[in-house]
Amino acid sequence: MKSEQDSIINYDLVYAHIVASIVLLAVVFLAGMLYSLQFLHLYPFPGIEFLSPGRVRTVHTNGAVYGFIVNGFTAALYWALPRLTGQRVMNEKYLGWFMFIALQGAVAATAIGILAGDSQAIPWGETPWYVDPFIVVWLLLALVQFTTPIYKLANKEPLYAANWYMIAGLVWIPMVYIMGNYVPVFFVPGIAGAAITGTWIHDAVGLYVTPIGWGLCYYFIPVILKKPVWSHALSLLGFWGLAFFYPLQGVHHYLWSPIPMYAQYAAVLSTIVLELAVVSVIVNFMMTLKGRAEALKESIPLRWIYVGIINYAITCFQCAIQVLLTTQKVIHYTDWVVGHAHLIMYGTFGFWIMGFISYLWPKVNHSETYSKALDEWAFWLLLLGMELMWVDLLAGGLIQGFTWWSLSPWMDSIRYSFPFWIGRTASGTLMSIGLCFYIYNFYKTGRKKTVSLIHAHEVGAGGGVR
Amino acid sequence: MNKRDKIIFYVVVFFILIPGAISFLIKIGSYFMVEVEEGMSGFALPFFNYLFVALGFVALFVWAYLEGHFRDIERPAIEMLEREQRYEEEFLKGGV
Ligand code: HEM
Repeated sequence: MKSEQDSIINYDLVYAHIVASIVLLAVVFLAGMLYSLQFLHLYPFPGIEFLSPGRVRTVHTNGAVYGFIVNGFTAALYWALPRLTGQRVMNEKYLGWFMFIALQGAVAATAIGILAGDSQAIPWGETPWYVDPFIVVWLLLALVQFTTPIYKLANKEPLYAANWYMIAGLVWIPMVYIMGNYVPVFFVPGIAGAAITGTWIHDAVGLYVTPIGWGLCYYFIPVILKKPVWSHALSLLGFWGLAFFYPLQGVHHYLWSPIPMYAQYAAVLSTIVLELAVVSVIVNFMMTLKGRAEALKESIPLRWIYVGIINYAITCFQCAIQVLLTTQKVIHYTDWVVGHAHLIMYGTFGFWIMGFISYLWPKVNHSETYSKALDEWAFWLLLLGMELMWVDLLAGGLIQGFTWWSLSPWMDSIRYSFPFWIGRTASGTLMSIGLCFYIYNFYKTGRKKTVSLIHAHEVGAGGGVR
Repeated sequence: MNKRDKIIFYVVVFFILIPGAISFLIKIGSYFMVEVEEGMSGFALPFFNYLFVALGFVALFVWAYLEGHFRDIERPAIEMLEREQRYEEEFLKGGV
């Protein structure tokens, strides 16, 4: 007989999006490693236009968002939303599978288009113009698919913070995407167009990745710890702050540019205030852990999530510092920014997804994790590699910035950067080994059909299931 | 709201939300100034996009308030866990 549980969650969709997310993460790693070799004059495909380094870099960055992150979040939404609301998503059988295939198609078309040289000149929006309409339609379908269960619940009982955050992410992103990917290319030229592309970069992170990521954390953390979030009131205040005041960040990507100074000052001010709102969310997550920190020893999913939160706190603190005009004088256009981007995109959101997947994968397979030891190795190697890469790029960025500032010859800055670029490839290698462990464990867990879920329950963190 | 929640509420409102609103308005004002005074056409365009969605959120807030979503503010956090526990027990039974 089908249980209520079985009838609201489509395990196959969760499974498929998880697999896509992990496969595409491996592609992202491969592209990142390849491109890092270019800086060491070791790029393995010189002279092949289709695999020219600049294009591989773009596959790396776009693959990270549309491939790894969107698939990872979608998998987690297919699990978390029905459990949060007690309702099914709008339609799994047709819409769910159509969306799955369409997303992988869009990712493949983006990669091929970029490698063929069809990138748009928008940072992080390089998706060729002919793929953009499909992505917009996909985002609108996702809006309908995932807000349906929330809407049904909202008519019966008050919504939980996770649901509010998910609404925000799903509603904002189609608008942000259209604005960022069409307006600067076709309608607003010059510096104003550039400012809009800045808004796109920041709003894609702030109005999709952040609210969906937070929403999922507001589900997974209490569920794993088996205790409610520290303050639901605080999480709701954070949500309304985000919904109204997070949008339209972006000018802070163009400090010291020809944009008038008063607009730059305004951007600095609003960025710093925004960081305070983010801190309130971090405080809530940390206070929820209070008294249960020992769960971090047992539960690797929880550990991924909390390490992600710590990295998040670091990035936000960094943000408030690097948005100051004085700091910008040094770090702008240097590897510092690349270090910052990796810490937020992978060290925070990527780690959260690794945590969600570590939690969900044994469940959708009705099995236990194949090897706890492999899981530990993967965790520590990826963590160590990530933090080393971050520190390496920050240090390299500072040296580049000061070399430029002192008006030394350009080639000096290249020479001084070289050890740091070796450091990046080395830390990337460490991360890649960690990812291999993660994937091997993932593969074996998927093959190990079990048996005793009660046992899996018992070994979980603080009594929590993993 | 209990005492702790009241303190959180006032701290967040006075130190985060109100400064957030003020700095947001200053930022938007600067966008319009750039457009009007400096003649950088299109600079304030994203604002209208924002306004469209933000008005939707205002409507959502008013609706949620009138429906009593914020009355017993900690309740949804407990209900979510109770629901999860029910599903989890069923899931574990089903798997064995
Ligand atoms: C083996 C691991 C990785 C290596 C070696 C690596 C390497 C690189 C390199 C060389 C760049 C170009 C920097 C430049 O243009 O100067 C880059 C950019 C970027 N990577 Fe990675 N990466 C790795 C993993 C990841 C992951 C897992 C993510 C996200 C989930 C990611 C997100 C990004 C982003 C967003 C940028 C753009 C940064 C910017 O423009 O400021 N990377 N990466």
